[in-house]
Amino acid sequence: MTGPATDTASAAARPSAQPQPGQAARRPRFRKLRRSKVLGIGIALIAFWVAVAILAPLIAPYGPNIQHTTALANPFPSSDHWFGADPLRRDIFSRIVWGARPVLLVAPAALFCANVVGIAIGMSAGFYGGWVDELCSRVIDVLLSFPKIVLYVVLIASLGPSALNIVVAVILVSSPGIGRLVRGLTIELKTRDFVTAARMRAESGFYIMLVEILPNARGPLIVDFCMRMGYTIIAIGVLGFLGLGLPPPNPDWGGMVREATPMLTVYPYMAIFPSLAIITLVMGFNLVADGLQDLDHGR
Amino acid sequence: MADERDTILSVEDLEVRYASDDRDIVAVTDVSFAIERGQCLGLVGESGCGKSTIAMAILRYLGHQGRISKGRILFQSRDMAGLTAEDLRALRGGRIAAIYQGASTALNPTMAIGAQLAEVLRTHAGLDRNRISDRVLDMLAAVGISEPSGMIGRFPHQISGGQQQRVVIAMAFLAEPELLILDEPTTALDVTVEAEIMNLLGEMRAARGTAMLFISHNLGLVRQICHTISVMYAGQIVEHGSAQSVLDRPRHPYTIGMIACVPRLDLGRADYRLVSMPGQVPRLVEPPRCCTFMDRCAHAREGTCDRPMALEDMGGGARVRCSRWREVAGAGLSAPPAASATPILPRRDRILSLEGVSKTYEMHRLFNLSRKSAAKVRANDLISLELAAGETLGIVGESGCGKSTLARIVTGLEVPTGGWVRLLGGDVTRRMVERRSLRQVRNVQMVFQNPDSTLNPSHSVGFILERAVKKLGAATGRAARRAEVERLLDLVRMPRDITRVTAAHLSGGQKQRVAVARAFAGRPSLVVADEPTSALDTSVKTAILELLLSAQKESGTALIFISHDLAVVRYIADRIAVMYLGQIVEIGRADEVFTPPYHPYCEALLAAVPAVDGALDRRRPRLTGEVGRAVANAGSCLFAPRCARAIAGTCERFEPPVIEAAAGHLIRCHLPLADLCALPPVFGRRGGAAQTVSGWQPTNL
Repeated sequence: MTGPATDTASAAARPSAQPQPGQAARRPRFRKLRRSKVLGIGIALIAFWVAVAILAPLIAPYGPNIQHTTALANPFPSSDHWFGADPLRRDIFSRIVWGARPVLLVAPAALFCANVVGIAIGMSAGFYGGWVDELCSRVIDVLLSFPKIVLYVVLIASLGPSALNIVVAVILVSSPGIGRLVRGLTIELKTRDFVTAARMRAESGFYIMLVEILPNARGPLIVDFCMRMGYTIIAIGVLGFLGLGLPPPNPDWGGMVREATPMLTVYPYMAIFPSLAIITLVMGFNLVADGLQDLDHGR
Repeated sequence: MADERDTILSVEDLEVRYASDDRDIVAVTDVSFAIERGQCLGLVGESGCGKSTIAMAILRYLGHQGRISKGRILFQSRDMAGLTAEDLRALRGGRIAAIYQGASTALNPTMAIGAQLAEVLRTHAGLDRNRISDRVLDMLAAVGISEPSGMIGRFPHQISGGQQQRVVIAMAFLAEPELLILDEPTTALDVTVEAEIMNLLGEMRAARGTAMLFISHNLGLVRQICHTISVMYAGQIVEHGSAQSVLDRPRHPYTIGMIACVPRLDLGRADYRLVSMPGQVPRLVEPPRCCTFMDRCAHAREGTCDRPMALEDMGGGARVRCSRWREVAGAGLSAPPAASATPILPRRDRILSLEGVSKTYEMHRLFNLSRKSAAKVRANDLISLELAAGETLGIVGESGCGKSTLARIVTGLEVPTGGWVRLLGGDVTRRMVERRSLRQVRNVQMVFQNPDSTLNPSHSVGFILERAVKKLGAATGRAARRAEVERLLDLVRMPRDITRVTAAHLSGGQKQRVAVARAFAGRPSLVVADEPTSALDTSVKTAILELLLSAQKESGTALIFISHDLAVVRYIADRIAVMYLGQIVEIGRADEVFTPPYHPYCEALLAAVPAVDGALDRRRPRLTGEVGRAVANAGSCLFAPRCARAIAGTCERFEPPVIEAAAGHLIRCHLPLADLCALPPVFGRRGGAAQTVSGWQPTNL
């Protein structure tokens, strides 16, 4: 590929000989996107669940909390209840479809907040250094020293199970890790000459952090976001399984697995279908993270 | 033609392709050459011309995307294509050795030097332990390492870059290769170290009769070591011949252009003019259907040049890929009139003055928390200089001499530990850039060395320049800023529609142009350029130099130009300061510094630079050793340990005085002025000046 434009005076005088700048710059990225199978599968899985969540009223044959007396004797999968019925004889297929909504709402919203907090902490620590860095880094160390799942359980158990409290818990659990990542990226990026150039234009620290440094940290941050989406969805599932998820009777995949455990040997499908839902969604995000990383390294 | 047996390597009609997203890129096409025992072939050309690809193709290191699509490579009459993986492994590092640019990456950081060298012998020679260690020690001595037995126990990070490259050379020669491939082996090194390494390579070749393939963009180096030269352009050899004939009487317009781009050490800016080549190297997606250089060639003719060019024999083994070479050679190079000599400027406003500035870094060792015992490294030591408005000051010296530290002090990125810095009439000694006044900040801008880090890769050219205009310039309002951006793009000769392109998609030269435009956005009083051209190709380098000069003239800006390339500094600077270990050892007008009387260090630096022009005759004591660290100054001359002209008993004991050789020309040396004046000039012209004006030289000598 020829460069987007030429390097010199004479060529500048006849720009028609060269491809128009801008055009050449954009195309290869999409071509690469098509080339990475892993990324394609990941995006397809996520898109599937997003579509399910949005179209839930159209897809689900029943409401998530309607009990079907017809299924009292035979809760097994049938033409009426594709995935069967749960211990309370609610339609599992409908509950899984409706259950996609809280997961796909809570997890990204919580992680978005965690990223805002993490980026703010990590970026100031990395950019200013000195005592700001010491303070932020020690707080991060303390928070990271707790096992994640213990932190989740302790937080939700004390705050009480609700969507908002899950968001708070995700912020507290995820932002230290994000902060540490951003701090490292910032320390590396702030030595670049374009940051020095910004300092020599008397730009404010705020401007340098947000406009000069942050855009260049987006690659690792997007990959990290996808990985964390996987963890967070699992965490929400685990909380639901421990009875600390969304309060009943809301459809909650983790909670569905928990309700199924006492009768696992008789009705295994009651746990298997919601587990499959969690697995495919988590896998979607992990594959996207892998795919993006591969593209980054030109593999 | 020589005997068949003497031909070590022959490449026949080679074509190499790289698989790309949609179609193949032709990296090398129609390349044929042969190297005989004891001969050195130079491959020269800008980056992207396929030089390294040839080296990789010989060793079959093309990776999974590259392949040899045509032609063959014969090593000692054996076709390389028929070799098994096992044969290849025995060949690589054994009968064919290669030395690349980064010595530090060629050595294993976890293994001691001795063990790494021994490994070569175990793999390729199969000697027993005692004989191995003897051979290793002999070889280390042969590559000029003064204490081989001490060296074998050390690790790569404990030795300097120059010594690392010596070890790599030792490693290459240990296996007694028939062919040595050298891919820019000295590009990362200082000129003085480079000179030593080149001498060493020359000696090793003479002693062992190794055939060499020497790849470089530096024409001076190539002249020094190579018998024959092949000039590469866009994957083809465009000119081939003996080193002397190619460099003294180039026939191909590209060769002529390349030579005209090289700044000269022996002439000042007033005496000649660098001519930059327009355009850039094209990338081929199929074998060319016209002359690849046609777009950039001043001699191109419709009907003659728009068909594939064949290598034409010019007699005497010289070949050229240009159908108009007779006309081209006859026309010579029409050099534009010389830039008018810079007049001696009347005393103008001083915009910057440094007085006794020093900068000491404290080295904190791990586990050594007591501040008192921390060793001090002096980067700058009592620097005093002044800069007038519109003046260009060049700063030269080897790496580690404190050039960049000085730049960082002037720009407020570091604070000196002693002395005074006055900028635009205000004291800024203790002020980092964040604490300087808006006027002081706006009026000092910088151009950086690394094109890949100088622009924010996420931003578009338009955003970058508009922001600079907004923060630094006087233009208010969006329309005025847009107009100003367009003025800047015109200034650096870039098309106006480039504003929409993201910085990450620009070439190195384009990035550096935008960086120059950004620095001059607010018509600053002072621009500090820290090695702005050292990462660029020859022809691009010249273009950036021209830009800096014209931008500077347009806005009346003073320029501090830091470089290790003496010829570049001589071309661009009005005054030059030579730095050694944090001290200015000589300062004066460009022509004064480059002719006697000069400091012995300056003399040695000049002597180390390889010249393209063979008419230059230089017989000088080589500068040996390397820049140390000025840890403690015991009141001696810092250069004394390396100085060929040191006075025993004086130089290592007393601080040298500053001699004023002429008004404003200061030399810090113990030698009496009369002795310094009597030093023979580095640039003697062989056989007198009259005979040496060769065809390609600009006419206005």
